[in-house]
Amino acid sequence: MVLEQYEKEAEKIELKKEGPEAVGPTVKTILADTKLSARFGDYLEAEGEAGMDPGKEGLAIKLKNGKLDPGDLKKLEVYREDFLFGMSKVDSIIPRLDKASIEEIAKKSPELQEILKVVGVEGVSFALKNQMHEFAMKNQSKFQEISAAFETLDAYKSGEFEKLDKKIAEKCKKAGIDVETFARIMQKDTGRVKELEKEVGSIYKSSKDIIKKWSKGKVFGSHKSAKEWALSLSREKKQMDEALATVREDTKKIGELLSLTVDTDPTMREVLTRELVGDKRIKEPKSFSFKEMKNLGTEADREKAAKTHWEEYKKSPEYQEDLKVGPDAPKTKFKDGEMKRFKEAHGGGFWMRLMEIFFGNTLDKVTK
Amino acid sequence: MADLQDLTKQFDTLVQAGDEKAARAFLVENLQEFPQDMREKIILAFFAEAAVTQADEIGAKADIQKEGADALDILSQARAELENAQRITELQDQLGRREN
Repeated sequence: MVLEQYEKEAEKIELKKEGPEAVGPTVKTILADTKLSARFGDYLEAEGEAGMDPGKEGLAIKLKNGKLDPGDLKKLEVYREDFLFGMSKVDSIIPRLDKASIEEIAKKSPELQEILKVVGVEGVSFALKNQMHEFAMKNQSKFQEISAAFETLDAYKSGEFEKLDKKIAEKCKKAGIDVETFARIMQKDTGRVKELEKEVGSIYKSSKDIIKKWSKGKVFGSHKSAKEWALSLSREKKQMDEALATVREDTKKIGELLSLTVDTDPTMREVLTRELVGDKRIKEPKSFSFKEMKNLGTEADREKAAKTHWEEYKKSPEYQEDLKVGPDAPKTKFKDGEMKRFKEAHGGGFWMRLMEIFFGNTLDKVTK
Repeated sequence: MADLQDLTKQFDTLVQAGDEKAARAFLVENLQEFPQDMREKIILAFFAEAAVTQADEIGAKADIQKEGADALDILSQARAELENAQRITELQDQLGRREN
């Protein structure tokens, strides 16, 4: 129906295209494909919600209800290119969701490992492929995070980090690093992890300050280079001896830390990265925690609140206006609006994604 | 297949009890009981969490390696310059002593 309308309207308005036509399906093809058309709607909706263009939200509702007018079709032509670019990003990830990648990523999640036992790699792969497009269009920033994660994993797999490991190992060797502590700990059979945590933690903390100090060149004071600094010290032998001793000591500490980051042992890598990431994560924007979920009340509370909103909306003149767009337009608009408010009020993160799944189901029930 | 309402209620109970570990386990243990669309979304949520965690770890390690490698370069340079300056001072001292 939408397609027929498009064909009629397109003839009437003679769309003027600027520049070369974007590669990929045309608006006509997108509208003829139920799934693709729905994704286009999701994309417009998410863009509108993100404040990129509030008009996109209205367009999304019209698209989902097959009530586009000639002016809208012209707009769709404009948005098509960005939409297809987003889709191509998802398409580039899909083939990478193979057995090896899924199993590698599952190592970081005990739950995913259990899921693999239940549904198998094929089951997980099928689910991801089925959901990834919708997820990407509805959660563009989250998808970018996953996409970036894949880039990092690819770089890791392609040996980029291995090269860095080798470079570090060479540097440590060249700097005459003492790795005795490392070797001693690694030889122990029991209590290794605990001792490593202690050892790595203390080296990391002291080395972090040194790295900051040296990499920012603060230690050279007003001198621009190590050479200038050395020459300024050369007049004072005692001062110079002290500086040299500091350099040697700091080199040793950084070297120890770096030698521990080399992939010599998976346990060591795990311990070290936990230490580093633990530190890094504090800086990340706060996401919705499990404990905060309690504040959302029970399913019955959420359903009751959604029901009240739905009834209020049904009595409003806005509902009648939206009904003119299509029989399902008010439902779509209401569900999108409730979900948007829900997300805005509570933030993001793993548990919010989970709650969205349950809340989506609640909204379906309320508007049935 | 269990009733979705029952599943949601059970999940809510764990949330209200503040038991995150049990809530995670519940989702996994009852995965097959959820409707297909919800099931797939739950799998994706766990997958996304794991993918980002792993990339964070690799990224953090790479960051410290890069920073450390740069710092080591600066330190090596500083050490070489200091050793040179030290040799010059020693030579100047020796020459001074000879002249005296």
